[in-house]
Amino acid sequence: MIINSYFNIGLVISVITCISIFICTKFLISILWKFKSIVLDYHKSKKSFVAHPGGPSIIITILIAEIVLYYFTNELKIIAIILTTIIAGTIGLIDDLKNLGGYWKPILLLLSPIPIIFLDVYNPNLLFPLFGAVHMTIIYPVLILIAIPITSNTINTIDVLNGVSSGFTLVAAIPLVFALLLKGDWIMVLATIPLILTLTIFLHYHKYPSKIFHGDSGTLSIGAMYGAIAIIGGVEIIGVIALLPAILNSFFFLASVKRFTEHKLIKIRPTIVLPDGIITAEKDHRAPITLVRLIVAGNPSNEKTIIKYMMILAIFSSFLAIIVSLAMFGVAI
Amino acid sequence: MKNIFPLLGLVFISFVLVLLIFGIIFTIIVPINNLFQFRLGNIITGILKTSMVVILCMTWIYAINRITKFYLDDRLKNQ
Repeated sequence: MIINSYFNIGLVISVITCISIFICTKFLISILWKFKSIVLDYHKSKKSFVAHPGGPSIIITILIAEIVLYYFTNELKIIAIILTTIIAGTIGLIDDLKNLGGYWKPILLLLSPIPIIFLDVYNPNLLFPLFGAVHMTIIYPVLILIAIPITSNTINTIDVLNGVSSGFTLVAAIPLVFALLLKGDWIMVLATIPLILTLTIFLHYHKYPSKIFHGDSGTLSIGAMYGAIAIIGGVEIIGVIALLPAILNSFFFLASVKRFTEHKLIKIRPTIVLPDGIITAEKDHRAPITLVRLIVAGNPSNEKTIIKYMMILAIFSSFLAIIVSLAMFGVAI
Repeated sequence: MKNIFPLLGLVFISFVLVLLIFGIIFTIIVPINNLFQFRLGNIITGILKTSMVVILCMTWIYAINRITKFYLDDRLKNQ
C-alpha cells in the first residue's frame, strides 16, 4: 500500500519534471538568443555560438518538482535539498551575470550546505565498507560544510565539453538511487527523481552539438543537489566513488595551477584545437593538468571521441560505486 | 582507445586509495580517545591525530600526482 502511494507520487513528480524542463529549456534557448546571451564553443573548428546559461531552467524545474514532493511527503529533508540547490544556483547565476572570481565562488558556496546543518536532516554516522560505521557529532557538520562546495565545483570543473557535465552527473546519480533503494529510503529515492529526469531531458539539448550550456548556475545547482542527496540519504561514500573521475579532474587542475582560478583566466590552455577540429594536449609543462589533457595526451582526438572516453570513465566509477553499495547495504535486502 | 585503459587504472587506484585512506582516517584515527594520562594529553593526542590525517592525505595526493605526472610525461614524449 505504502509502496503504491510512493509509486503514484513518483509518477506525478516525474511528469511535472519532464514537462517543466522541456518547456523551460526550449523557452530559455529562444529568450537567450533573442537577448544575444550566447558564448563561443571553444572546441569547435568553425566558430559556433551557444545559448548560455541554461541553469535557470534546471533550477525552476527542480524547485517545482521538489515543492510538489514536499506537499505530498511533508519531509524537512526535501526543504533542505530545495534550499541547498537554490542557494548554489543563485551563486552560480550571479557568477554567470557578473564574474565572481576564483576565490569568491568557493567562499560563497559555503552558504549552500547551511540549511542541511540547521534543519538537522543529516545522520552523523558515516558508514565505510570493510571498516564499519563511525559516529562523528562534531566533525560531520564541518565535513558537510566542505562537501557541498566540493561537489558543486567538481561538476563545474567537468563542464568542459558538450554534454559532459549533464551526462556525467546523470551516470553518477544512478548508484545513489541504487544505494537508496537498497537502504529502503523511498523519500530520498523520490527526491532524486527530479535530478535524474531534469538531467536526462536537459542532456538532449546539451549533448554534442550543444544548443545550450549549463553555465555556473546549472553546474553549481546540480552539484549541490547531488551532494545534498548523498549527505541527507547517508550514501556519502557512494557519491564520492561515483564522482571520482570528476573529483580527480578538479584535483589535477588545483594541484597543477596551485590556486583557485577560473578556466577562462588560464594563460596556457591545457588543450589545443587544431583547424580540423582535432583536440591535442598542450606540451608546455606550465599548462594545467585536466582529464581532457590526459585523454588526448599522445592521442589527439575529436570532441565526440573525448566525450565518449569521459562517459566510459563515469560508467566505470559508477560500476565501482554500485559494487560498494552492494557490499554496504546489500544485506538489508 | 589507446589512453582509456591507463585512465581506468588511475580511477581504480584512486578508488582503492580513497577507501583505504579515508576508512583508516574516519574509523581508526578520528575515534581515538586521549592516549595519555597527564594534563596536556588531550592536546598532544589531537596533534598526533591531525598529523596522522595530514600524512595519510598527503600520501594520497603524492601517489596520484606521481602516477599522473609519469603518465602525462610518457604520453607527451610520444606526441
